[in-house]
Order: sequence, then structure tokens, then C-alpha cells
Amino acid sequence: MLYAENQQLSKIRVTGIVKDNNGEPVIGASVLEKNTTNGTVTDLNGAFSISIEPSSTLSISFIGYKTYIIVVSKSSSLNVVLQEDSKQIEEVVVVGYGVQKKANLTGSVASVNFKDVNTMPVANTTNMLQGRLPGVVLTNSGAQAGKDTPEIRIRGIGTMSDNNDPMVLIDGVEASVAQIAQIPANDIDNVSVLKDAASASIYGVRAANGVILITTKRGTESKPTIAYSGSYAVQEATVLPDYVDAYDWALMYNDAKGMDFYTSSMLSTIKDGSDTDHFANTNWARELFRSAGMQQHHLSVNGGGKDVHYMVSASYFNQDGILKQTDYERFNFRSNIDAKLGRVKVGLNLSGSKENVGSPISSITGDGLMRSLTWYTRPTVPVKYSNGYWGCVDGTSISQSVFKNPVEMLYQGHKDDYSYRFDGNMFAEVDIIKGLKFRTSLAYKFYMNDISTFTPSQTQKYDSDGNQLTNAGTNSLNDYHYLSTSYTNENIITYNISIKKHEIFALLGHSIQEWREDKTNAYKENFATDNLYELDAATTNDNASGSAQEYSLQSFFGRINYNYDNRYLLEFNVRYDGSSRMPKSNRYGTFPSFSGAWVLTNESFLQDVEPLTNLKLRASWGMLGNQEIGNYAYAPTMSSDYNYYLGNEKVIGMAENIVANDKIKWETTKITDLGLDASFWKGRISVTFDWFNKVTSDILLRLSMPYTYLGLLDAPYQNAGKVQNRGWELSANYFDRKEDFSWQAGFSLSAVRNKILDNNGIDTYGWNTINREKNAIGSFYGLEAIGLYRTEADLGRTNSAGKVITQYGTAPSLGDIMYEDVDDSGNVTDDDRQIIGNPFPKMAYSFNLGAAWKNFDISTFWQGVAGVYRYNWEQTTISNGGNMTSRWLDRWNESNSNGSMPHLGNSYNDIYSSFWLTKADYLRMKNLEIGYTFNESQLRGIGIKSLRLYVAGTNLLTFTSLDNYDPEKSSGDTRNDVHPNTKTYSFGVNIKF
Amino acid sequence: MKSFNKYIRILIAISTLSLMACSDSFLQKDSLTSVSSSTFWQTKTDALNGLAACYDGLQNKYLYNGGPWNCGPLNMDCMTDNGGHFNWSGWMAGYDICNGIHTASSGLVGEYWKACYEEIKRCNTLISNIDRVEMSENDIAMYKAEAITMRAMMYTNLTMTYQDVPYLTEVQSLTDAECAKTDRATIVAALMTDLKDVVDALPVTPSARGRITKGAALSVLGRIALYNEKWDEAISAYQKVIGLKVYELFPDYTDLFTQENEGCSEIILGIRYEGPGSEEGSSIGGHWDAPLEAMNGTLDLSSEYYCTDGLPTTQSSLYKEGSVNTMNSPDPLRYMNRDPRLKATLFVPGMTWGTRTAQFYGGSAASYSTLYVIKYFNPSLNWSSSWDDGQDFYVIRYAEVLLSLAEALVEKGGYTYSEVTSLVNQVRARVNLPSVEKIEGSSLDQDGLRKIIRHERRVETAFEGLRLFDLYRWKELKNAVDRINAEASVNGFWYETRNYRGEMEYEWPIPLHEIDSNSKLEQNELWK
Repeated sequence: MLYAENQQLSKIRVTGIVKDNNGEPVIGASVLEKNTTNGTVTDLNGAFSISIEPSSTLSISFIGYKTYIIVVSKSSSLNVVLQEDSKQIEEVVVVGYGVQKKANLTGSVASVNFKDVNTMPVANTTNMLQGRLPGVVLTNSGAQAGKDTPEIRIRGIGTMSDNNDPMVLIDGVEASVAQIAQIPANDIDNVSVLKDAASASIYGVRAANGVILITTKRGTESKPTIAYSGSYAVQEATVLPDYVDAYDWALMYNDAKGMDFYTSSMLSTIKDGSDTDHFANTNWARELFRSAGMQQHHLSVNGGGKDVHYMVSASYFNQDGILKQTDYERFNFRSNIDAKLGRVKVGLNLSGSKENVGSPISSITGDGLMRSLTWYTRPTVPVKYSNGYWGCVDGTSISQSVFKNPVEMLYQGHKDDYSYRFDGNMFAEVDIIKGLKFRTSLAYKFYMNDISTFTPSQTQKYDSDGNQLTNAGTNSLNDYHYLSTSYTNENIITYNISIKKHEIFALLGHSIQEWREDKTNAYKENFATDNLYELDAATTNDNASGSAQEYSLQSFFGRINYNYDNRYLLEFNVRYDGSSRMPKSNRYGTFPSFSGAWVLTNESFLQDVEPLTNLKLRASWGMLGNQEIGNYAYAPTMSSDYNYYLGNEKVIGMAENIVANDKIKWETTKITDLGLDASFWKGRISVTFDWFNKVTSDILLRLSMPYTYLGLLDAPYQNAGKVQNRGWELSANYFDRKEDFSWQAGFSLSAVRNKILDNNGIDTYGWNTINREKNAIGSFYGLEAIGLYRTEADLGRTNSAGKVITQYGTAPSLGDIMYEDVDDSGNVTDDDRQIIGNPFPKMAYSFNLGAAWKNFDISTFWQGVAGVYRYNWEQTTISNGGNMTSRWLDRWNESNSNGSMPHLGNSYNDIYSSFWLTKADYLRMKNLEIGYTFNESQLRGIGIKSLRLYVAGTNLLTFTSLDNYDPEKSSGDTRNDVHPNTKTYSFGVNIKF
Repeated sequence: MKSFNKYIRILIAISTLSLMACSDSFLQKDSLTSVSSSTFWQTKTDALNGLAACYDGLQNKYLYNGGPWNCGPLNMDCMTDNGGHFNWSGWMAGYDICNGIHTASSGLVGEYWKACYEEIKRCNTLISNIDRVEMSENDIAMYKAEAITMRAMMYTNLTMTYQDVPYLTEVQSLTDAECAKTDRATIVAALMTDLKDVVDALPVTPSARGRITKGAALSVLGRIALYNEKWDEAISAYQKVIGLKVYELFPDYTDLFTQENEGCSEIILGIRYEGPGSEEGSSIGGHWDAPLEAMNGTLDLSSEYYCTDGLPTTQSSLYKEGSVNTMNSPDPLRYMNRDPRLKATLFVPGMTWGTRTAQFYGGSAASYSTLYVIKYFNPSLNWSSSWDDGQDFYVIRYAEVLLSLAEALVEKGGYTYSEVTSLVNQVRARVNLPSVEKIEGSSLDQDGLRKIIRHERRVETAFEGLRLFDLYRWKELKNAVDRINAEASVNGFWYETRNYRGEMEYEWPIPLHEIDSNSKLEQNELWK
């Protein structure tokens, strides 16, 4: 700089600050001396400094703003305010194999800029997407620390086969839904979701469930910026089941058994609490859960010179789970480097993470701790007796063997669950001639998971008098090792040309991808003590197993975009995929798509028609595939899992281990999408609407087949059936400002109707569910409950022939659930089952509100679903003596003949019927954030460029009709045995140096 | 420009990586853990491996293995008057069948069907493919005979429960998987013809313990005939078994059910288990270092065992009772001076579990009936090993052959008295009980002999999985249900009430899944 000043004395020096309408500095605006190559860009404060010839013209410009032009005659300092140019806003959106101006999009693509969401205090980055993308539905099935990846569904469920997860790509490399969780939110620049076939078909056979593209931050040409962000949060369960106390529970148990199992003297002991060793009053849900802390720290350095840009970051995340003895810890690093070497650009992305999941040795969700809570624990047993042993019996004869003390399970044994991930991607791009580029890349992924589980021997059970009820077990160690590796090589040629009003872009690519996973498991028993955790210290029962799988994919793909005068846009995509998962005869598939858009506001007849700023109509059609059927589904094989001792020799037994179908091919999904984008009043209001019809055919189904054919094996996949998802998505945004005050609001609304068009003419059954033509996938299937038997007249109910209706051959009694006798046979049986609902919400919606005044800002985001039902089932026979929720206080009995719940003790009331289906609509405040951003003037002199402090919370408020359990439960959670979801309160800080 | 060309060359080098992939082999990925079916059934080893898989199918937890939650022979007896799932009730497979509240979608109704047809599929696979294997004709015939015998065992199970079922004798294809029922009589006739055709291909003594012999196949034939009241066929088959002169009763009934004696000459067909730690153990006797209250014995069964003088408890002077016999305070006195088979079958008050001195009554895991099962349980194994036990399960013992022959002779009529009693006496003599002649005399009529044989069969084979089918074929189910319900009310035991809904209790419904997925299959008339 000194050098420049000394040399060019004849020039004048102009400095300045460039800001936008909001007073925010515009970073990276270009400042040019007109008709020369002399120029600079503004720094992070919007400041610039340039030496120019006197009286020359300066042009200051930035994407989305009107160019500011000024003639400067002498050295001076300028304060420039750039005016937004709504027509010029060229927001770019990441699409498959590239980026596109949003204005030129012809397909249906939704995106989230992570600047808006990355301070949400959630443990799992994936949850930041919930409600932000119309048509994308996230379901949280439990928030166990480190195991809280939600389910993501884009535009419904297209297939009845196993996998409905969308395809996920991180910086262009295939990943998984689970991997999104492992990326620190601060590393992410934006997320795009390709919803229609036109935008997704470039990913062919893997894209039927939609595609999520995640783009991480990269360096820009600027001085190094060091940014730190950190937050601390407290989490607690959104809701815990309201279990009845010991006294009420004992009465319920007596009811269920039809006898005074808990005698009146026992009941009074329970009531007066005089012998808590034998008759305790334990609230097991509260014994298991707690308030827990969570913290995250993220440090990044971002910047670059003219030729080399960099973004490097490191982060640390630490969470204690709300379930005692659970925690999660993660370390991440990322380095995105770009370098220009003349006409060649090269880059290297490296990222890695290490995760430690802390959890008890028993599983949690499903048949584990949570089922112990709902099925195997009762309030009459203490957590520990006064003699210090874990509780397992009360003063009755109920067996220790049907009691599982979940608190004891938390503290038993020792489990290490470590995962290591490394992703690398090296790429090079060369400008061959103007408009013609060639890009090649080689990506490598490595993921390893090691789980070591030590089960102790000291698991004897005792009663409160110190009598030993069971013997010690054998201690054992299980070491599990998992490794998956893959590489992808892509080679892409692009060509871009503009001739007058015609603009053409073409892309041609080829890629190969190979994946392999290896699993080994080693097990050994009998350690001298419970404090040795390595296999060599064990002595007996060696057991080892191992397996591996491979998969490969080769693809050719292409795209042509045509743009005429920014008025007519056309796009054509095609992908030709070959997959090792398909038999040789059906190995390759072609997936084309066509789309077009008409920008009406660029037509002369609609130009400058106030208040319309932008209006675009879109239409698309295309085909996508699905091949998620495992790696070897077409090949009949035999495995050696059927061994037998003949004499004293173990003979290998070989039998079919898969019922294969060598005629399968991939599923095909065709999507038609009609859309509209409009904005008004210079973009202050914008609206997007899409209607779509998504039809999946040749579905890879495990069609229900007789056991006489299958034996113990699963039914083979067959291409059969057709499913339709038809729906619409609407979103609108509004922002405005007045002096120091600005505000914004937005909402989105989506609905999708799922319907099986063809299921080969048959019904297929799941656990309480059915797939039947003309109905939704996985419709709830069971008896229709038409109330309770409350009167003698009810008991005398007859069918049309006048026969008194029995239920499963037995005469019902008062307080039983009354089922509809659909076939009018006079006896309710399984034949009377019918479709009693479906798992899909009628509508999903969300809205956000935000406002800023001077340095304060506040924003809140709400999300909800309407018209959804979930099973909320409890066993009326209490066969294992499990906890009961407070709704049973209102059960039917002689003195409460209007009770809402049936009487206890009849197993026919346990049958999954519509009685147990509960409306699970909810509206939830997903996020609330209040922040304060310090002015530059406030920070002057302390070396900090910017500072923001905020408090935030998630799931703070919920409105729902479902009691005791979180309404965001998955449809498969019929027994309420899923880890609860969490709400959080947090405090955070963002600093830039 | 020079450096530019260098970069281009590097890029071309990288991109050729992918062009190499254009060959077919890149996309051909075969299983890394299994072999292709099309290359199997060629060598003698293939044949033996295929045969081992047929035997392995018998180890299914719903057939001749088990554990409280599944089924297996012990649980089969818990569906009868021998036992029950009084404590654990709804957890236990078959509890609903026992209580007469089952439906076509009941767990065991589906699982039992599935287990039988899996085994049939494996046998049919061997039978359909074995001719392709290069080995001697004798070996091929023997392998086939073994598979046919196992298949016949499965159809015996199926016809005793579901009655008319699809009779499959060859491997089905994906496009031809639906099949109709064949009536029970036709299946039974075919099974008997099959077995008679193949017995001569089988050796009298097995090449390896566990393999099916001529005696085993004949015993299976005898059982099918007996179950279907083909008395002549049964008599002929059982007499041939005895005529082989290779079987005899093992002298000690209690020790018979231990691993040391699983090779003794009483065992005609045993399901092989090895363990712990061989991945071939059984969980039939799985326990938690205590008698398992998941399976209860009944007082009804215990009172069937005579006193050591050969007299029933109602008549013997050796029989003593304590004043009370309640769940919390059971009476050990009444189990003294009894047929040794009682304490080899049931775990009764006064007995100890291995070296443990703990009492199993009045505490939290007390059997509601005061009785547990001890047959096939091994207290000297710790709990984790007990779920991986090496004890074989005996599907057919010589004692059963003797008693079955006696039954067939009596039912047919025109028997020689001593021929019948000598069969029963052999079984009694092993446990030092006096002969029929000494206790019941030499002039019993047909019904008298029938009672003696049925009694002996119950006490000799309790908890070996035979009782349920015996109750079915003797049409004794209603009486059995009534006796157990009475036992609960007289003693104040917490049993769930057992229902008897009529004839339908003698016939299992076809599993709902089969009706739903096989349009050619019709539900049994009584279950429509």
C-alpha cells in the first residue's frame, strides 16, 4: 500500500463505506474505475480504498443491488448506500451437478440458507430443516443423545419397500440422512431439496425419494475472518408419561387380575408408606430422566487471496442425555480449499469427525429400557431397597422374572460406542475454451464404528430381606467393528454459450461409484473380574462372526438448459444408471426428465405492472428410480447357517438363505409438477405454489406369500404395485421495514395424499397395518371400536339375524370394548378387522415471525401437523405388571359406568382396535430466539469485529390432543416405548475477529 | 501453456479410471458370504451339507427345541393337563390355545405351521435335487429316506393340529406358490406308503448318532398309524422295531435325561444338541439358576404317579399328606415314597435346585401350582449355559414304542393279555414298580387295559411333547380342561380359566396369514 501511494502521486485516494438499505455493510462489492481494470472489493466492514485518476468515474456494484455511479474529482471519503434492485436479485440455488439462478429454475427446488437457522439449539443438525422446506416432513422418533436422527420424507412415501429415505449429497458426494447430523450447522452454507423429477432425475436410480443437497461454506477473497460461535443449552423431556402412584396402581392390578392380589392390609401399607421396602411408591419415569446440559463450540477461519481461498473449521459438541447415563460427544474438522492455477482450478475438501455415544448396554428405544418402563416396572417396587440392592420384587408374589429395573439397567456394564468418519474430495476444473469446462473429481469416504459392550457377572437379584433370588451370570465382552468405504469418480463436461437472446447450457457426465462394508464381531465370556474390558482377559465361549457386502454403480448423465430472453426456459435431463443390485438382464435403466418455465413478467405485456414484480409458471415431468432392496436380492444363494452335529462331528448345513427373484428391476417413479412463483411490491411478498402427482410403479415389494412356500424366509422382492402421492405445497414470505424497525413473516402449507393404486390385487399385512388398494400405505388395520359395553342392553346387542353378538366366541361383559361386527356373523373375530385410519397427516404447516428493532432481534418458528392419528395403547391385562398412566383412573367399573377407559383384565380389550388410535395433531413452537447484536462503535478498540448474544429455545410450547407422550411419534411406535423428545433452553454467542 | 498441458494430462489420467469401469465385471457383485444355489448339489459334500440342513430344521424352537417364549415339547405339555403357563400366561406361546381363546392369528398357530413347512421345504429340496449328485445309488436312497422320514414327522404334526393341509412333496416355484389343501386321510395314506417304501434303504445302526435309522423310520410310521387308528399298520411297524433287537430300556429313568446317556440304546431318534459354546445348543432347559416358573407342572399330573408299592395315592398306605398345601406353604410330604419318575419329571416341594438351598415357594417367583418341571432341566449348568445346553432331545424312545404297541393291540382287540401286559410291565419294571398282574390283576377287560396303558403313557412320557396329541386323539380334552379348572378352584390357585368351546378345540385354525396370502386355501370349517 505504501508502495502504491509513493509511486502514483498523481492519483487521488478515495475511501468509503458501502452499506445497504438496512445499514448493513455490503461485503465484497466491487469498486471499479470505469473503463480501466483498476478495481477493488469492499471488506467485511463494507470499506474500500482505491487510488484513481482524478475526475474519473467510480462504479460500485453488487449482486442484487442497483449499480452506484459517481464521478470523483479529489481525494475523499464516501458513504455509499446501495439500493436493492428486486429485479436483479439473482439468488442462486444449488442443483444437481451445479448451481442455477433461482430466477431460471424450471423444477421444484426448496432451499434453506443456514445463516437463518444455525443458532437453533438442537443437538442434531437435521432438525434445523424441520418445517423449513414445504413438502419435506421430519419425524422425530426419540431424542436419545447421539441417536436422534429424524426420519425425512419428501412428498410422501413412494414405496412400500424398505427404504423411503431421500438421497443425500454433501458437496456433491453421496452421503446418508444420518450423516447430516454429524455436520456442525456452522459449516453449512445452504441446503437444497430437489422435489420434482425434473430437478432430481440427474441422480437417476437413487433419486425416487427426493434429493437433499448440502453445501458447506467455502472461502472468499477477503481478509481472514476468525469466527467463534458457542452455546450452552439445558434440555428436558417435552413430556413424560403421567403414571399413577402405587396405591392406584395396586387397585388397577387387582382389577386386572379379578382378585385382591394386593390385600387390604397391603393397600394400607402402600398408602401410609410405612414399609417402602415391600410397598414403595416409585415414579419410574422421573427416576430415569433428568435435565441435562449441552454445549457446542465452533471456530472457523475463512478468507483468501486472489488465487487461493480457504475455509477451515473445528468444532466440539458435548451433550448429556436427558436419560441418565447417556451422553454424546463429537469432534469435527473441515477444510475446504480452492486454488486457481491459470485456467485450471483445483480444490480439496477434507472433513472428519469422531463421535462417542454413551449409553447403557441395554437398548433404549423399543424392546429395551423404554419397554421396561412401560411394561416391566411398577410403582410398588423401590429403585433400591434400604439394604442397598436393586429393587425387583414388592411384598406380593409377583415374580422377579417379570420385573426389569430400568434404573439398574442404566448402571449395569459398560459400553463404548465410537465412530470415526473421514471424507475427502479432490477436484479439478479446466476452462478448455470459452464456455467449455471439464471437471473431474475423486471422492473417498471412510466410516468406522467400534462398539465394545461389557456385560458384568454381578447381576444377582435380591429381595428386600437380602435373600438372593437369582445367581450371578457370566460376564462377557462383545466387540463389534464396522467399516464402510466408498469412492466416487466423476467426469463432467459443461458448455455454456449465449447468442443474442439465446442462452444454452449443456452438461455431459460419467461417474462410477463403488462401496463396501465389512463387519466383524467377537465375543468371549468369563473374565476374572468385572474390571477387564479386553477379549484376551476372557476365558470361554469364543464366538466370532464377520460379513461383507459390496455394491457398484456406473452412470452416464446429461443436461441441456435453454433460455430465450429470460422469458422461456427449457431443461432436459437424463441419466443412464447401471447397478450391481440388479440382475444382468435388467442392469441398466434410463431416467429422463423435461421441464419448462415461462417468466410472464419479462413479457412486454406484464412489465412494470404494479404491484407484480415477478411471475413465473413452471411445469415438469420426469422419471426416477429406486433400488433399495439390499445388494443381492436377485441371486438365489445358500448359506452355511444350518449346521448340525451328526455323531460328534459338526456338519455344515447348507440351505437356501434367500428366496430370490431373478427378474427384478428398479422401481420407477414418475412425477408431474406444476408450479408458480410470484412476488409483489418489489419482492416484499413472495409466493411459491406447487402441485404434484407422483406415481411409483413396478414397486419392489415383498408381496405376502404363503409360509408353505417361504418357510422361515422372507418373501422375495417382486416388481408389483403402484403408489400415488398427490399433493400441493404453498409457501409465502413477507418482509418490510420502517426506520429502525423491520419485520418478516412466512408460512408454508403442504398436503399429500398417499394411495396404493395397485397392490397386485391382494392385501399385504404388517403389524396392525395393511397395504390395500385405494388406501394409503401402511393403513391402520384392526377392529372398529364402537364404544364400551355400558348397559345390559349393550350386552344384548344382536346381529341382523337376531343372534346376540359374541366377541371371539365369548360373551362380553360390562366395561369391555364393543367392536363392530362387520361381517354380521354374530361373532366378532379377526375377520371383522377393517381399515381404521392411516399414518399420514392430512396437512403439515409451519410459520415464522421475526422482527428487529435497532440492535435487538426476535424470531419464532412454529410447526405443526393436522389430521394425524397414532396408537396410544396400553395392555389392559397388565400381564407383566407394568406402569399405568393416569387415564386409567377413569376406567369403567360399577361405580363409574361412564368411564372413558374399559375395565381392566380382559385380553380381548388389548387387541389393536380404533379404541387405541388417538388424534395426534400438534402445533409446536419449534424455535424462539431473542438476540442482541453490538454496534461496531460499541466494539471499537477491543479487537472484535462483530458480536451477537442470544437466548433461544426449542419445543417450548406444544398444543396437542395426545396425552402422556410426545405427539411427534412415528406411526410404528404403537407401544409407547420410544425415548422422549426434548425441549431446550439455550444461551449463545457469535463473535467475529 | 506448457503447464496447462500437464494439467490436462493429469485430468485425462484420472478420468481413464472411470473408463476402465465400463466392463461388465464392475457391476457384477456376488454375495461374499453365501454360495450361488445354481452351483450346489453336485458333490457328495453338497449332499451331506443339504442333509444336515434338514436335520437342523428340526431344531426349530417351535418343534424340538424351545424355551419359554417359543414352544417346543415342554410347552406342548403346558397346553395340557400335565402343565400350564400359570405364572407367565400371555407371554408364552400356546397359552391361548391352552386357555381356549386362540384365533387364526394367534402366534403359535402361525409359528408352528411355519416351522413345519420350513422343514418340509428343506426335505423337498434334498429329495428333488439329490439325484443330480454323483454318489452311490445306495447313498442317494438313504439320504432320500432320511428326508422322507423327517418330512413325514412334519405332516404328522400338521395333520394332528390343522387336519387337512397342503401336501407338498416337491419344491415350489415363485409363480406357483399357492396351493390347496389335501384331506388328512389322503396325506396319512401317502405318508405310510412313502415310509414303507424307504425303510429298507436305511441302516439298522446309524453311521453317526442322530441320523435316522430303520428303527426311527418304522417308529415314525407306527406313530402315524397309531394317531390315525390304523391299528394293523401300527402293530406291524412297532413289532418290526422290536424285532430289530437293537433297542432296550435304559436302567435308570432319571439318568436317561442326561448328556452321558443320550447315546444309549433306548433312544430311537434324538435331536442332537452340543453345547455350551458350540453354536448348537438347545434352550429347552433354559433357566435362571432356579426352577422356571414360566412352565408349571400340575397337581393333576403329580397325583398320577403311583407310590413305590405300585398303588395309586388314593389306595397306598405309603402315601402321606401334610395339613396344608398352598402356594406359599406347599406340602413336601405327599411327594415321598413315589414312583421315581415323579421327581425325574417335576420339581416338587422338598427338592433342591442343584447346590442351592433356597426355597422356591412363598417368594416372588413361586410357581402358582407349587410345581415346576425338572425333566430336561439341568441345575448343574449355570443360567447362561443352560440356554445353550448340549442335551439331546428324545423324539422317540423305546418306552414309547412299547406303550404304543400295547395301545394298538388293545384298541384293535383280539389281543393276548400277557402280550399287552408284558409291554407295560417292561416299562414299570425299569422304575421298580410291580407288574400289572400283581397290582391290577390278570382279568382286566379292554377298557381296563386301555386305562392302564394311557396312565402309563402319561407318567412315562410327561413333558416330552406327546400329551397334547394324546388328548386330541382320545377326545379327552374337555375332561382335562375341567380337571385343571377344578384344581385351581379347590386349591385357590391363581390359574386363568381354561375354556372349552367345543369341537373347534380339537382342530387348529389355518393361520390367518396363509388364508390371506394363498387364495387356494380355505379356512377350516369350524373356524369360518
